[in-house]
Amino acid sequence: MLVFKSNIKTNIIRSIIFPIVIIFFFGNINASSFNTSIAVVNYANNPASFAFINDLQHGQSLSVVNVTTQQSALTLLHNSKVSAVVVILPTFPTKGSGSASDVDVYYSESNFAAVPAALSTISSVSEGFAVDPSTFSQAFNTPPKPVDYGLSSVLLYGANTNYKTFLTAGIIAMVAAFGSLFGGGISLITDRQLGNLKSFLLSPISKNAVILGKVLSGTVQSVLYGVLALAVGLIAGAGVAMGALGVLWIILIVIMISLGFSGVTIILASRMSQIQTYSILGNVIVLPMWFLSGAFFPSSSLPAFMQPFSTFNPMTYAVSGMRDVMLVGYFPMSSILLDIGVLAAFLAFGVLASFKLFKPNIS
Amino acid sequence: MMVANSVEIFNLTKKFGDFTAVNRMNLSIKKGEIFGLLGPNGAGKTTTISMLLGIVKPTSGRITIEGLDAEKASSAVKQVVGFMAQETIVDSDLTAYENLEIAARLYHMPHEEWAKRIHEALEWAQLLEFKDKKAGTFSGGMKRRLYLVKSMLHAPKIIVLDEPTTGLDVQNRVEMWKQIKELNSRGVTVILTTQYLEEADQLCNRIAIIDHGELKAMGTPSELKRMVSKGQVLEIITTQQEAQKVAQLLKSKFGISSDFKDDKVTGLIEDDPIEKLPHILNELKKSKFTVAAVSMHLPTMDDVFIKLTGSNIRDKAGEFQSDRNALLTMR
Repeated sequence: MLVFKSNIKTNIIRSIIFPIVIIFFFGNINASSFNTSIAVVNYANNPASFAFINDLQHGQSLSVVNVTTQQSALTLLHNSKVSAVVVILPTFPTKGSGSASDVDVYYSESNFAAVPAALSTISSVSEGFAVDPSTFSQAFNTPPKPVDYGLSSVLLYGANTNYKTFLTAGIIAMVAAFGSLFGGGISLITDRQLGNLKSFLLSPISKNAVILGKVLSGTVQSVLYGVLALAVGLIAGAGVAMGALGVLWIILIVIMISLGFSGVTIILASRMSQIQTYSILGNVIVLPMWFLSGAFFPSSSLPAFMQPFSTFNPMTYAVSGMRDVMLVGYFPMSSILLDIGVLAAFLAFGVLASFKLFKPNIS
Repeated sequence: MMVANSVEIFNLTKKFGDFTAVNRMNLSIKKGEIFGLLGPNGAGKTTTISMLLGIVKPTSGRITIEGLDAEKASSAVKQVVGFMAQETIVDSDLTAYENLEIAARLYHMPHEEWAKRIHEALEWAQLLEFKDKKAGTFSGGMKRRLYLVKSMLHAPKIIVLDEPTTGLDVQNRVEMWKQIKELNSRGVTVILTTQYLEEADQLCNRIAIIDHGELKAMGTPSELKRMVSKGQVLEIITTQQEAQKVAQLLKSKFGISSDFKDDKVTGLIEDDPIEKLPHILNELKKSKFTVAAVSMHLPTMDDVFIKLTGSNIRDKAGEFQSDRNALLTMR
């Protein structure tokens, strides 16, 4: 009853316009990319392979990271550190017998903005080394297995997708943050202005219960707006590769990030008396976090000096977790540990810090 | 446990940084009395009340309320204290009934008692027929009454009223006085702050005057008045040009120190005022001063206030602001 008091209509309209505008309009953007990072694993270690790598680096479109094992290269790919993995097999450059390939290319569409350009560069370079660019096989399900001779390229994780799905995960994270910003912090300021906060603090209920109430109010709104944003995304053509279970994961991630965010917004709001100041500061904090979280474009395409802002950004993990279930189709255990772990830590920090740093500011 | 005093304050001190809002205050408030807390703006009334209510932590000192330590038994204390703030805190989006229902929930009232208590409260506030109307549609007086019963819903033994009549029109103010007296007659200890000295004079059994965080005086209104002076206050209305000369005459002939403002001269006759008055009148006549009116009366609460705090109650808006700011950073 009190959670949605007075401005639920405004809030819903605002939070649904946002996904509609962004997913429907910006969702059609086809990004091209420059200097895409790829990982190269060289098992051949012969002059031809060195020349091949050299040629890959030639020009501006690829930036090559040398990695010793295929396993660690694939880890980089999964963590969006690189857009593709090129594995040069020991047989390179002699075409292997039968259907074996010389070069395997692995890529994941979660970085798809950068991938098409990278793939075409790799294949054009490989032509010079007499490795036949094979038909690019799409829609492979795990585990990836090189089957073609010459250059084989393998789409990891199997899900076919488009930018709308990629973007929807980012938008859900955004409206979740907005839900916390408005449901948690602003409702606290309003309550203080109306004097309700004073009544709450004068009553025998504990101060932390009041804070927790505000945190949960922000979270409930975030979940509602997150689900609405997801619905808009699905209508626009995005998909959840994991299905219904994926939706539950998304809701869990939204709950976790908005519990943490609401805690933070309440600390802010409890120290401010003006809604205007709070809104400006809130946006100043949330918008950069959002842009740096990889919501719009893969965070691997951020310049190096900005990478740390992406790494130490709880929203990155919320977006990456949602993207896993929406794009990849399953939630790899390593991602669960990292994404959910970071979100759990952020949640605990947000809520506990709000208990500790809350200032009632009533007079 | 039977305790004679509702509230006891021992050596209470509150500092906000370098600023001492309340300085070693000792105070006891008896059961069942109406106790007035007076002081210029910024004197530390709000801080004292906030500590009493448990929303500000004292720097040192101790408060017991109904025999309970205010800090250690904070939630038990909150059950026996009610508070009505200066501004009217009711939720405009909720109905009168819902407003009270929230109060019932906040004070952990047993669910089966809600309906009965809320009904009684609405009846007392004369709002029964409006119980399902949103509080936003109420008039100022109705909102104030709803707020009073909301503050009283958990049947506290003590109610703290922070300037209960500020901003009310005369009718509503008289109505509020009636309700305060009625509450008090049911055995509720009332602690109130007010800007209206005549209100404190009429309503309160005892009054404490505080200034700069210190207790300046405490007693019944007439005790306080007698404390200021045994004499009487003399007021002479003359003309603006002659006011200063009249004041000089009072000083030179009768040794009466007086102030003048525009055409009014005010002084205190300490000894034997009844005997002195005719002589003063004669002297004024002899000096051919214009005298429009002369009056003499016992000191008022205003005089008490000015004497003890050196200021008029509404003179200290600046200090009031600093107290507010200090409170904003509390805890």
